[in-house]
Amino acid sequence: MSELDRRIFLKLGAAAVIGTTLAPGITLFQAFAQDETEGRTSSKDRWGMVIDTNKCTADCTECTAACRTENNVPLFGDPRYDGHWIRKVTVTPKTDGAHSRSLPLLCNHCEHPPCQHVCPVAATFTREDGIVMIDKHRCIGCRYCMIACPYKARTFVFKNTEKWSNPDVPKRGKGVVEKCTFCAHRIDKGQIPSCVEACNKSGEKAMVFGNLNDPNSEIVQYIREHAPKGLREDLGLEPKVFYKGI
Amino acid sequence: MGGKGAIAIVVALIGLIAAPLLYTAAGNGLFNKPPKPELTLPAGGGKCIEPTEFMRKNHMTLLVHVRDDIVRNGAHKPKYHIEHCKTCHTKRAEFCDKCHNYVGVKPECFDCHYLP
Repeated sequence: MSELDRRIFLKLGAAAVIGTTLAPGITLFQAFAQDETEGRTSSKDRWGMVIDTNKCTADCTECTAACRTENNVPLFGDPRYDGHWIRKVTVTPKTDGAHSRSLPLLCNHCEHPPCQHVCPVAATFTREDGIVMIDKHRCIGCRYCMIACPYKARTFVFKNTEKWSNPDVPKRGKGVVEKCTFCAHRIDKGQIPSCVEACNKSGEKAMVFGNLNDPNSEIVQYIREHAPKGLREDLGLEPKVFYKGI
Repeated sequence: MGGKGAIAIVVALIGLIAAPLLYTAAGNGLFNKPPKPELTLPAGGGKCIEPTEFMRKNHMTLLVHVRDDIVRNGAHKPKYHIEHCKTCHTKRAEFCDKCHNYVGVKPECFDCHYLP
């Protein structure tokens, strides 16, 4: 091998090393890897919601109605069979009965979801962007998750729904557990959940939805300013739905 | 007598027992081969994403694979998706049900998913 050849060989080798590791954690091959992850949920996102209970009025059910039409959540007229993805509850302090609050309760999309831990068939999973979802193809309907959830956010599908109110979203077959998905199908399209949209439309504007990982997002600014609390934070589940004023 | 007579009696008995069963089976058309489904291509004249023979054998594998990818990994733009099929094959009765009825397969997809 001549001197020139060796020099070129060494240069190429050095270039290859530099090319693969520009800096710790940053490599040129990310450029190729990005093609595979394009059009997928990103782990950079962390979706969350803030609900201002001061603005939420007791007799307003815009969010629950919007959720039912958007996600084909059945309403049979029999409370034993009705599904609930989001429901209005009234909380009354034990010390003072006069100051009760009405607030919507939905899946809190915990960072450490107990429903996922207890699922025997791994039907409940956390998406890359932190949304806790149920793979209904896999769910066997054992209802462990319903017992594990401290927010009572899950309901069992006892009956088949007859019609789709929104054909873009699948119905649920009899015998699986269903719950709020943060309208994942809408988030994938770049929209906000239908309950938040309905709340904004109704003029109450009690709900704020956004990316918790984006420091400039509306929700992060709101949390910085008002410091809303999650429900039962003592459980250490790190819920991503926050409530102001309770 | 002896052997021959016994065989004759057995055959007669089998015939007697089988007669009503055969009669009912014939009445229900179990001996007639069902007519092969007549498949018509959709009017659009588009091109299938894979050759027809491949799709006939493997469409269920593609759909299950893409199902897991969409549900679990949140793939927004998968290569194979029933949405592609729906652009040309607009009617489920023509597209899915004809063959599925012929071979007696009952997929549960459309209990929950919408395809007109």
